[in-house]
Amino acid sequence: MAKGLSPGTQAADFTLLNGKGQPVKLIDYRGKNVVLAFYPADWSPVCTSELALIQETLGEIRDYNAEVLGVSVDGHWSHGAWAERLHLTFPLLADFWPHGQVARQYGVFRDSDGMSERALFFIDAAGVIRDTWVAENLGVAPGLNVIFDALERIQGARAKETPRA
Amino acid sequence: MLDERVQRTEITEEDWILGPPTAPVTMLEYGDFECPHCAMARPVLEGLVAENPEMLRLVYRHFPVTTVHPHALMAAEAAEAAGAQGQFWEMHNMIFAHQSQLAYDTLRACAVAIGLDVARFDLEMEEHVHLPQVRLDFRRGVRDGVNGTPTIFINRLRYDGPRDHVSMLAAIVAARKAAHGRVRGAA
Repeated sequence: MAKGLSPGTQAADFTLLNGKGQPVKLIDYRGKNVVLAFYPADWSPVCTSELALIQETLGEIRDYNAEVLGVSVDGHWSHGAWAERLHLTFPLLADFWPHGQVARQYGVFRDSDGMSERALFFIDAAGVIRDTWVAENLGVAPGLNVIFDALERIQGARAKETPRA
Repeated sequence: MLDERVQRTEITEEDWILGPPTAPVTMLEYGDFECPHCAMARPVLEGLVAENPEMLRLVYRHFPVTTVHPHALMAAEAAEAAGAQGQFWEMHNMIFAHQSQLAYDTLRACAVAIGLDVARFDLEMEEHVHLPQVRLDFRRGVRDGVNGTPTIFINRLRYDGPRDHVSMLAAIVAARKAAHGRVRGAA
């Protein structure tokens, strides 16, 4: 269970390219909660499903003053094409070179196959990691409850009982 | 913290349920009509219910993932519209059978084929009468911890295993054994 950076520690800063080849710095998100979502690989079935569900609930996630950053070891060209295919509007970041460096910083790099674990880090507006989730089984995506429970713990409950049209 | 893989919402009388209320095992599916994995799971799930009429019931809730499945929400509304006329499961089956072509014309043709009052169907679709129900299902799915489509719970525990008959039957039998001896209604 004790895999990856622990809750209570400062989130390691990084700069990575997004799917458009532009640099994205974690520190620029200060003031927002961040869901940092490591996933093993673009184009794989479980990651497709996981990120499609995040996209589907992105509006609700943003209601918690939160933004989502996806991270995998794929290059930014792959990220760009995959995001377009899935209609993703949140950034996918390329932890491509030095290979998996950010995953290593967060303690979720897999030496066995060169990918990252499937993992979520919930970072608050001050840049502190408040919660983490690491998949026991790489083939099983996190339930959406994991994301919303963590955001509620950080931000407090939102009354979102009115259906959106 | 609650186990993250446990269904939190209750099954209610308003849910679409296939099988007897007394069944010791309840299988809850969150599905998307345009999702190919859901279409593949359908005959397996319904076969299990048909073969185990005393043991198992199936509950279906909507979880349309609209960014990748542009017709899924409208299809879910169509199934609810059919449900309002007492034919939810008939429509559910028709929609899955026509999964690759779920434009409104197809949904309407499905409604005609199962003998719905089509004027009423058109009106309710036009006015999105059933959209709140679909949204409610989706929110319940978020709360329960949907992690893809389909997501299946067997007696409240999320089933992340393979969705073939043998594997699922084993999980169902195990759930019944676990439920046996427990107070009825606790599950």
